[in-house]
Amino acid sequence: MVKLTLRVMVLLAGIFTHIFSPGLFAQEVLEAERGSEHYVELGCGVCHGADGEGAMLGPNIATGTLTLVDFIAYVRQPTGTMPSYSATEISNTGLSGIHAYLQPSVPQLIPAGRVEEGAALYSSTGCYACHANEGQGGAQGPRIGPDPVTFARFLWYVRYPSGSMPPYTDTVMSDQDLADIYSFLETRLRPPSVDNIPLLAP
Amino acid sequence: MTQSKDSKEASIERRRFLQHGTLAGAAALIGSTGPAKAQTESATDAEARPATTPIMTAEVEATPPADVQVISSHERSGSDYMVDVIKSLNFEYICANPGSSFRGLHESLINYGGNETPELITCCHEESSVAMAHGYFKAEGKPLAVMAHGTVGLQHAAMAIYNAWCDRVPVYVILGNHNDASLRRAAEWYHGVQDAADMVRDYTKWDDTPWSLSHFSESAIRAYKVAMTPPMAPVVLVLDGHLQEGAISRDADLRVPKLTLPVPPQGESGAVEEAARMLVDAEYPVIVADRLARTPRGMALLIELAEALQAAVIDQGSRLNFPTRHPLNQTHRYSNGVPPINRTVIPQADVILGLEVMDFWSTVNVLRDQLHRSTSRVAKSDAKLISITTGDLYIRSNYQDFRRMQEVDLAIAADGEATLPALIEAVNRLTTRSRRRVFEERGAQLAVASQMADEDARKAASYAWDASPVSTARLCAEIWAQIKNEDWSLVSSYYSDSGGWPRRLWDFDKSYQWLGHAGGGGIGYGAPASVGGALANRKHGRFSVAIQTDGDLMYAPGVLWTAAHHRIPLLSVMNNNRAYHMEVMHVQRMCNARNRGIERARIGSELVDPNINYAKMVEGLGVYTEGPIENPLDLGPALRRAIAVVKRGEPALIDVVTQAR
Repeated sequence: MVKLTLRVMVLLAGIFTHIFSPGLFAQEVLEAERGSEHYVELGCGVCHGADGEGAMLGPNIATGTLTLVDFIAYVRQPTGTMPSYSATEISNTGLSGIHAYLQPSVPQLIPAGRVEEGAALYSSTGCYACHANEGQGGAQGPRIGPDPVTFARFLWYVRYPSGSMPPYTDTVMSDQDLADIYSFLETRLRPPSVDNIPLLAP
Repeated sequence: MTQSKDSKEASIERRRFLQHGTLAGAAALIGSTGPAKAQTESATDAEARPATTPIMTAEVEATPPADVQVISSHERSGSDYMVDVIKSLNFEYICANPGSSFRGLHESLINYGGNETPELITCCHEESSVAMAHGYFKAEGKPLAVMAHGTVGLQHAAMAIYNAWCDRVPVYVILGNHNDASLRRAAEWYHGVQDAADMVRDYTKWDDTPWSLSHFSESAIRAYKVAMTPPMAPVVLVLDGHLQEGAISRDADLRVPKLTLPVPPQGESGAVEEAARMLVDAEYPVIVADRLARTPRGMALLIELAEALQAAVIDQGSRLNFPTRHPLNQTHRYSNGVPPINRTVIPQADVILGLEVMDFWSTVNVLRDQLHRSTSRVAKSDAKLISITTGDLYIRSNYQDFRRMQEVDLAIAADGEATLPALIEAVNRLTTRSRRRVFEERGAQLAVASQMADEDARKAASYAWDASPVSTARLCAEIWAQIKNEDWSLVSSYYSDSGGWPRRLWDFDKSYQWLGHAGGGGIGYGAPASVGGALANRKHGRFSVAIQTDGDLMYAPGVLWTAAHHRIPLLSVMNNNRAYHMEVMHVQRMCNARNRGIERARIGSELVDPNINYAKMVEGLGVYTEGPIENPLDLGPALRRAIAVVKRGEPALIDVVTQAR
């Protein structure tokens, strides 16, 4: 059992981005995980402090009390002296990354995954509908297994998808459920080399 | 003059009908066994026996008939003349589920017309008739005719007509009707309507209800001309039963008007020159084609334009516009094969040329389908957009298939294919030697990207290769292995194009190899359209294959009987994922948005309990079948056996249980 904060997990995911298989993830995932970079690039810290804790010109925004929707709505159309940020300057996906970066450090457990339970959940919760039965992906969703992204990134994207994937909150899918599904994806068979499949010869 | 003759003949026929009606009434009276007995019958007995049941008596037998109503030697029927006109339009086939409101024309087609050009194709549903015509046109480039009741038949046909409308495909619909209320048989009241075409007028290009045979001939020719003039679309002719069945003199002054199809409009020369200049000056031009290739020449012209510019091409696939393995084809350059396809190439473009693109807005923008829908532009904000489309020449109000309006910088209201020669000439003329070097460098980069996309596709297809149920990638790879050395045609892949596997893995380079989509998104198109496509391919000796979805086949599976009956060679391979899976995903999206759990999302969209055995179902229609196949290792041998059957000139179906996507 490993204890990590969600915030740390997200940051670690960002740091290790370069080791992941390119093309496996939607560009939006990478974007969402650049929350800390966006925070700096946009100069949020000038008013709100280095970690959103608040400063002379802006309040503490790392309280975790604002929902993502409210957060984005306020940034787009602030009611006080804060300047507005348009979608040209920072996308909703980028803002969702900042929002995640600003979440307070609540210890999170990464539960141990169970493959069989994950297989059942993968089917019953409809993951297969877009990502196909073995997680290999299809027209409606990218490949997510085997060799899935880190659990932190996986968890983050399921909770806060940036594309058209429907979001799964912890009301309908617990962290344990996600850990089980993650384990199922980790154990999917790796394919034979394309060169060893005559039907796929160019 | 002709008009007056028709009127005179019509009045004679009306007299005959009136006589007939009087006789029938008398017979009904004679048939009654008298009021005393009638009063003693129970109500149930009276209802069980039709009121007009003839009961012969000596008195009736002794009464000579008032009239022997057989057409005389110096007469012929109105529908014989209609066949003369229809034959002049050179329809190969006419599809119909039989109906009494067009019985006159039916008889004339099979006897007077010899059941040739057109040959009558027996269909089990009017939706099948129209969808067959839809698929046939996209393989052959010529329309089919369809006959249907003006009421019940048209109501069945309406969905398929809407699909054809949205896909801008001409279908020549002939409806039977009984205008004269005084002469209708009982059933003809249900089959009679004041304005038959009204029901489909919003999604047909033109209709008419001729009141005389001269009127019919002109409208029949006009209908064909209108249907075949881009933007093409279905047309409707409503034929009165009396006009069909009534006799006319063989000397009647009726002629068959000459058909001259209009030449599709080419873009205005100044605008074409401006478009060429924008394309030549662009650093990263992208050509997007959708319904461009009306004829095989369309593909050849697009290749010429793309190569002249060494520009990226995206084929949106309503027609096959560009070879899938051409190095400039960038259609499948998207991450992991996941649409929308405009995420990689479009954002780089500084000029985007849309050729008969039905949805330019979605080409340069995306809509995020979440609880609060949002949109964003994927093209550069300063990218210049050029459209060449007949869509700017014709639009209707009610149905919204025209899509969201996209602001463009140059709109050329013209036929894309007809305009390409002038555009190519202008591009070549404006291209300097230095621009040519830039083009060549760009083309080399695109070729590398295209090759990488091909390699990515093959690698993506290798995942879940041995899985059961069979992956959709494996299904497509297995089919390709069996047909790639044939002169093949994928006659339908409606919603089986998941992941774009056929076009990602197969080598498409002929227009008849890919017949596009349904147009209006109406399920039930795939099976009949594939039979129609196969019907067109038969005389060319092409091998027709369909990837047939389960939900689609369940709408009107009788069309496979039509294929068996008419010996239409077609290999249907089921993509049987046992659900309307697109709908599963939509309901799941709602479940998630409302935070109520996903476990019940499949209720109402699955086709299980019991699983449908398509092999058994279709076997009863006279089609060779195998399956259900769940082990991918069984698929290749089954396909080979089925292909042998198809090569004998018959349809075959392999039921394959597949993954959802």
